Amino acid sequence: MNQNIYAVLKYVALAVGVVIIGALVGWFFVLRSQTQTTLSNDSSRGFGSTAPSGSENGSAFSNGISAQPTTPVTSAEPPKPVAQLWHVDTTPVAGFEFTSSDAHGVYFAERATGHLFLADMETGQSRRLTNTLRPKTHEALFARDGSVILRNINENTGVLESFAGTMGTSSGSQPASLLGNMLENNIVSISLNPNARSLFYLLRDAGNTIGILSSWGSKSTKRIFTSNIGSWRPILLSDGRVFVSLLAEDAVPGYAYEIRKDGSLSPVQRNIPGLSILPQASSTALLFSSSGSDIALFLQASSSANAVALPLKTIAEKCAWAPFPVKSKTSTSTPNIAYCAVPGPAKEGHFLENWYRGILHTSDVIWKINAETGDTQMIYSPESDGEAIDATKLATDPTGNYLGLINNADSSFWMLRIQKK
Amino acid sequence: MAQRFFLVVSLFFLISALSSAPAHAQYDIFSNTSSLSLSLSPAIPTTNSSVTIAAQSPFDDLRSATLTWVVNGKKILSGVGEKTITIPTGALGTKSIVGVSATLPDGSTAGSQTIIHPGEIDLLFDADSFVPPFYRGRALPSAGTTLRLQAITRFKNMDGSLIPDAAIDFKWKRGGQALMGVSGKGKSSISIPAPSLFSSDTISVEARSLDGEFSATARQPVSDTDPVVILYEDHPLFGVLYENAMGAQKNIFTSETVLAAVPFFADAFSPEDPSLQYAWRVNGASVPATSTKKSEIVIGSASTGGTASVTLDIAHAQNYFMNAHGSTVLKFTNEKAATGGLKKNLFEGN
Repeated sequence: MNQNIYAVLKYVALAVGVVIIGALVGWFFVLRSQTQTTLSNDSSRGFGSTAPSGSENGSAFSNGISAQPTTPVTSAEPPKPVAQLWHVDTTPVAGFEFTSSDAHGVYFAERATGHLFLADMETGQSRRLTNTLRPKTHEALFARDGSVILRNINENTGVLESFAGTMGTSSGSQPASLLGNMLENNIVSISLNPNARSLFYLLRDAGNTIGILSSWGSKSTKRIFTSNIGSWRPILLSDGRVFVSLLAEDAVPGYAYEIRKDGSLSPVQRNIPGLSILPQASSTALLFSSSGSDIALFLQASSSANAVALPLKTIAEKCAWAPFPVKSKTSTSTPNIAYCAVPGPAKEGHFLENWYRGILHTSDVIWKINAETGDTQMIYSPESDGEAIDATKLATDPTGNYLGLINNADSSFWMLRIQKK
Repeated sequence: MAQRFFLVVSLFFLISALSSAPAHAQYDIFSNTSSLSLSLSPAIPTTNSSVTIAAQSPFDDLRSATLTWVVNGKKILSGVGEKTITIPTGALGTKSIVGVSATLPDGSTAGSQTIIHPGEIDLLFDADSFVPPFYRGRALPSAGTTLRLQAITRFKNMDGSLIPDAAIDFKWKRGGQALMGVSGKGKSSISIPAPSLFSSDTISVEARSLDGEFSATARQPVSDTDPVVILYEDHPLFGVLYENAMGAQKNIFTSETVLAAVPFFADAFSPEDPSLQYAWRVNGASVPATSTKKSEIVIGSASTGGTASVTLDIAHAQNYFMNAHGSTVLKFTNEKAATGGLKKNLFEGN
């Protein structure tokens, strides 16, 4: 008896299951048909097409957004060997810095959103770290722990704003919030020591330029420089030395000084047309350039050495020092190295003003300079890989194996592996 | 022997008496009985250079005198008619005590001494003219703007200490004319009107320590710079693309774009300065700026293509001498690359 009841119930359950599955399949086809009809109707009404322009403010915003290939939260492609020259991000970036915790990592900030990313130089993978929106971030200055200063121009007031942020905690691999505080307004320029999270910034106050050395978050600040001149570039090295350099202009005399601990200005270079400088941390070596009727690059191997002209026509702003080699008695001496991007065809006259104003873009070749011997060697030509890069904001990673740079033509971010695999 | 003894004693006396004399001065010793003096060329020696010192006397014929030159106690030169010597000035913080004695044919003697204590001075300048935020170049003076100058001096004592600006007297000149109102003790920085239209001035400064021991001078030619208008795209996502000027011609791959004018070196604090007057024209027709910014216009292409010839003239309400002109040609095209469309939209120019 029980067996009969059990058999009946089994058939009933089976029949109910078949009916439910059949109903679901039927509902799926009905929905698909309706969706196609709806899309077809919408399309015929113009839905999905670009809206015509004509309003006072126009539709450029929509155009830009629709065309924008935003950087994904994580790379979709599986890890693969990274080419010697890697286009880390094709969209404009505001700045980058190598990590301290991961020897192959580099932080960068997207210009459109202010989102922070971490890219792995070995795998070519990148992932978004933050989800805090800071639109139109023009400049990003990183510390090696990922702390960052994001700078933008307030569109309503024209005020230069600086936000000092650190990444909050997140669950899993999800992007976190960027937490922090605003620095004082109208900071003209900032130089950040990526190791110590200290910064040296310049602001205008009552007709003077004030130079302030500050800890992170402005917990302690010290005024170390005052000038009525407004056109200064601050430089803070990771060894704590502080420099100011008069902003360069073609054929206009330039001066650069180290600000000593007693507050005095010790000249680094004087009265050089179009002067720009690149001092090296942990050494007194210096690269500097001039720009008059032509551009020229000079090397001073140490503070006691005479400057020598290098056979490279470029400017110091297109160069980066490799980390100063640690000398030991047991290991083979490693030379002190710098890398420079050298414009291909000779550019004569008004180089700086045309380059600074975005009128001139160059196609550069990367050269290596032995700062002890002055020897130069071409190590990579992006044109050999079909790329034209107008390099700026160059920096090497702590191992000296990678050279990061921004293409001044479109603000995209590139990474060059210095040693071929 | 007696003559040499007399010479040494005389020099010792002179050095002791005049040890704080400034480098550039001329001195007569024994002014009642002698008229020997020293002149320097250059008058204010600089560091790590050379200076020529000449002995002069309006009354005595030094060509027949025996002159002996001593620098820091060491005899450098001696001979008949040796009226000049050239010596290195030394580095910052060094001091050279130069003495000369002359023995005339009649046996009379005269002597003089000077101290060369070279200092350094840098003369820096820029202007309060407009340059955009994050601009990496210097703000240059144009007519109507204010020229800012700073003299950075290094007068180093033998103990290595530097003389502060407060203990230095600064004399500023413009084209040789003294600027009395801005000169004086501690006046190392000044702000003066920029050179007028199409003109050039030479600004000079002479710095002298209050004790008179140090002095240095510098001069700097400064020319009027024409304001320049550069046109950029104000992108909806990235803001003004200062790194990529429009140039003479640009391909635009969107139906619209926003042009932003940046008046480099203008007499203004921003492109929206109320004093600036903009006259935008597209294909010859006057067009209004956007409702929020007079330095920007929206340009659209009603069809899939077309060319827009954009010109802009900027004038200044109070500064009649300021005007600037900018232009570009935008070629709207409907062609979008299958990939990298954004890059074409933003950055492709011709």
